[in-house]
Amino acid sequence: MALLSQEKKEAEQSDYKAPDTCAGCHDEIVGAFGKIRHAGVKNSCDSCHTGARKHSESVDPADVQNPVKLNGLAADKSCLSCHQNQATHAGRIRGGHARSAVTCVTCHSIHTTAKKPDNCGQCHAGTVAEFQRPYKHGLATGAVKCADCHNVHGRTLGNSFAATSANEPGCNKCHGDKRGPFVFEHAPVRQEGCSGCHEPHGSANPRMLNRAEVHLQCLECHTNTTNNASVSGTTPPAFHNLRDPRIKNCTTCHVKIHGSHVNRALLR
Amino acid sequence: MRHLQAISIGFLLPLLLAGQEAAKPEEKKAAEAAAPAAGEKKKAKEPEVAPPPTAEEPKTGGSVDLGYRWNSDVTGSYDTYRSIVNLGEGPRVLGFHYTLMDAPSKVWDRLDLSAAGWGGDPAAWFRLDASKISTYRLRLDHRDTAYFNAMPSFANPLLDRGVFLNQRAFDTRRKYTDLSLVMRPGKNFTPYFGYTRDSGDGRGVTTFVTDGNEYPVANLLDDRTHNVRGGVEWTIGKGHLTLEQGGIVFDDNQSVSNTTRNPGNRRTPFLGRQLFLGDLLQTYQVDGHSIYSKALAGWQPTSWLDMTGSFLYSQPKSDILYNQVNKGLFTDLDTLVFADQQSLRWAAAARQPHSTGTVTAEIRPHQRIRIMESVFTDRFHNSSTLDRLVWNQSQQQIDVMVDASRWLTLRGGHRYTWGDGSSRGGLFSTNGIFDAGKLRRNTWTAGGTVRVRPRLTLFGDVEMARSTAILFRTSLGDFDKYRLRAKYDVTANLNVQITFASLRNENPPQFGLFSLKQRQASAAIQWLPRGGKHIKLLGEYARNSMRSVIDYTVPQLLTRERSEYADNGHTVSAFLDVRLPGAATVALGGSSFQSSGSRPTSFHQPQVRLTAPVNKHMHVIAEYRWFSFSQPFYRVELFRTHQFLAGIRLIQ
Repeated sequence: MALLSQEKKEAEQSDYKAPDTCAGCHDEIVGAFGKIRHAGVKNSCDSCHTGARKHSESVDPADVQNPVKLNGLAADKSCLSCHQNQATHAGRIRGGHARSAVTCVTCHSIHTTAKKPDNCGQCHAGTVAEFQRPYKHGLATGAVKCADCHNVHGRTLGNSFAATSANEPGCNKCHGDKRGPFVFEHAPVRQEGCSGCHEPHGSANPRMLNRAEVHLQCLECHTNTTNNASVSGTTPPAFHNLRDPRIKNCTTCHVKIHGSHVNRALLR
Repeated sequence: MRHLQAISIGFLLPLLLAGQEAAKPEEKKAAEAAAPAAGEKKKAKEPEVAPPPTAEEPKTGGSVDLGYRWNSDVTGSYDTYRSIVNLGEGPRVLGFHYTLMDAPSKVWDRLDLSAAGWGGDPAAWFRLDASKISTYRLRLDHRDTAYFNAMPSFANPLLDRGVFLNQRAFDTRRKYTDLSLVMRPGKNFTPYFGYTRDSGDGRGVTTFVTDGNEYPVANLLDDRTHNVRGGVEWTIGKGHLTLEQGGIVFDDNQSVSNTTRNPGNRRTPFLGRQLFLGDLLQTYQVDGHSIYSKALAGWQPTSWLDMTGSFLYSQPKSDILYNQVNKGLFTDLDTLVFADQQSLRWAAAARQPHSTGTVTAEIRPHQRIRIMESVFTDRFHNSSTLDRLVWNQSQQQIDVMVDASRWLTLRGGHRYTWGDGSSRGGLFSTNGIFDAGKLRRNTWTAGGTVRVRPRLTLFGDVEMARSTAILFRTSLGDFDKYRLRAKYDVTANLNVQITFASLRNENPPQFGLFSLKQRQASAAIQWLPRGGKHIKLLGEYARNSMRSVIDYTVPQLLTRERSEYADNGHTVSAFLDVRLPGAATVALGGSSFQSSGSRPTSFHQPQVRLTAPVNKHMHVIAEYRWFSFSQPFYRVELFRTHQFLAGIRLIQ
């Protein structure tokens, strides 16, 4: 208690006042900081940079905490001391970023509103390359953003997609006509999700399918090669001659492949 | 469309000019405030005379890029060009960004406006972000996206006969608008409201299917969804609660029509008679709605424990009215009776309750140890008895992370996923009316992060899964995943990154043969000498390979055949920005994708862009791009085109 009161006394006597004192050396950072919502935080610099008061006197970098240089646990703790109580945090522990020790400051620019260039691509370089394929979502044109489909803070759904509206996959955000519910559901759409058939980042297939040809995609389930009772998808297209190109293109007839309101075979 | 162009340009220009004029007194004040600050910068240790932190910040600023695009004649398939690139000719708002700070009205502390693609590009968007600290934050996001697809190679049953009509083509636009308003952001009690509208309309080609034949016909598409939501974020001490109630209303009104004699895809007589379609009117009227409730909670009872939970519940409902009247010559395969007219009118309904819940905890028993535990469940079913669909999935996961030292973090965990699902089985299903599936999967994870000082960081993760039951035969059963990433900051301005990821799945024999091997390796470099003042170089190379082997049965012969799918892709992207004398910049680069395997594809899009300042408020822009696409198996879809663009950038 005595120590605490001494610290308080020293604080009252000190000339230190954030962010004005900090601006003396870090004017560019503090200048940009004034534009964002963090500027409204009392003692804004000290909130993250523990030891800022001592650093202002010693000018020794070792005296002040820099979250960027901390390990995952400590860096997160620094941000979550304020941001723990946020809705975005609710699914974080289930998210890959939390498990891979990707901290808040990896993606967020704390001092400015300017986003880090190519934020997601800095780690997901292979995914960025997928968007260079001929058929892709319009990431480069700004038509979509990574966060439109992915909940980067964490997930409450059972896969890596963000939830939109109610507990629906993020794809439904734009593809509302595929939402349903349909009277006749195509089971994998609900149970495997869109990525069961589609490669959403980019593909050489005009419908961004996981396979080059439509029938190969469908045959993955509709083959009847297993007698295992616990495996679904035993539906054989019994009367279909798979060597006939007219029959081979499944979605020519099964037009309502995502689900139909009027036909069990998804024909209309 | 020309009206839209005129409106968008007409809207943006006055705003920019008005901003320039309005900013002048503010700039003067800022300059006055900044003047003493510059002199005091050296006296960093005298806080009483330190400059106000935002004194040098501009109050307003922004730029707009306006241009005109010309395309050369497309060599090859114009439909393919539209399906992939779809950039047309004419005037465009290529980009727009504007920031307004501390407006005299004090309605906002900051207002950001941005837009691009207006004037006819396939992806046009507009965003507004207005906020007043601790009072409100308003965000508006509007997107207008064109979807065009007419590729003969996709699901075209007549391609072998040389008929290049795509029977699944469409030419549609989707419009998406999202508005959200958060009141008192950052305070303990924060109400928020939101409204989203998503709509699509356009035309296309679809197939009308009858027994013995199918007919490509015109299709009109028209759907829209409205989502209204509201809730509160409530912080109570070390706890947090978010409650949201929302509603969705959607309608989907499609219509299919045909007025001319249509022979369909069967060109040979059926039982001696030529089937055809005359008049057709097929309409869908789908009306749906859903009320949903969402709750999110967080609690930090002690400094070493964080707990969160979430629950979502929705019950979407659809009511359907279907009308079909078709005239021509048709047959019924069950009775082999011919008819010249059919008429159907159906009403149907769909219900599908859906609930999701999670509980998570992060325990920190020691300052270097973090234990993360989560339990998740997702459950839904439809209300049908005959076409019953049920899917319940749950997952429990525990992860332990240890910061062994400042440079080493180790992690490991276990995940158990289980689920039960059932859906209506096929005609020859051996499992009865319903196919029942189960999922039982154990997954072990391990990994680590090594921060090799001063600039090298290595990441590695391994995931191994073994399943005793899977839902679909193509579900991943027994798989191993590896991921390695190295990031090396050679200097403050040179950064190199290498990533390798691998997935290998071999399902046990009882699930049926399904072998999948995927590999992805990429290398990226970022070079910004002197902070990118004169030269910026971004480069990336990625190699992807995939091989899938699966068996299937040919129904007529009951023989087993093997489907093998392989894809090997190489992607190169590079951009070099060089600042020329006179502050002009030239940007060279582009990307190239080349793949071999089941569907070999080449797609190249190099570009060069020159930006030169006329004065401090105006730059001129010139750009050249080349697009080339080819697929050896589908030469009919090849295209090449040149594209030129000239424009100006107005800066304030």
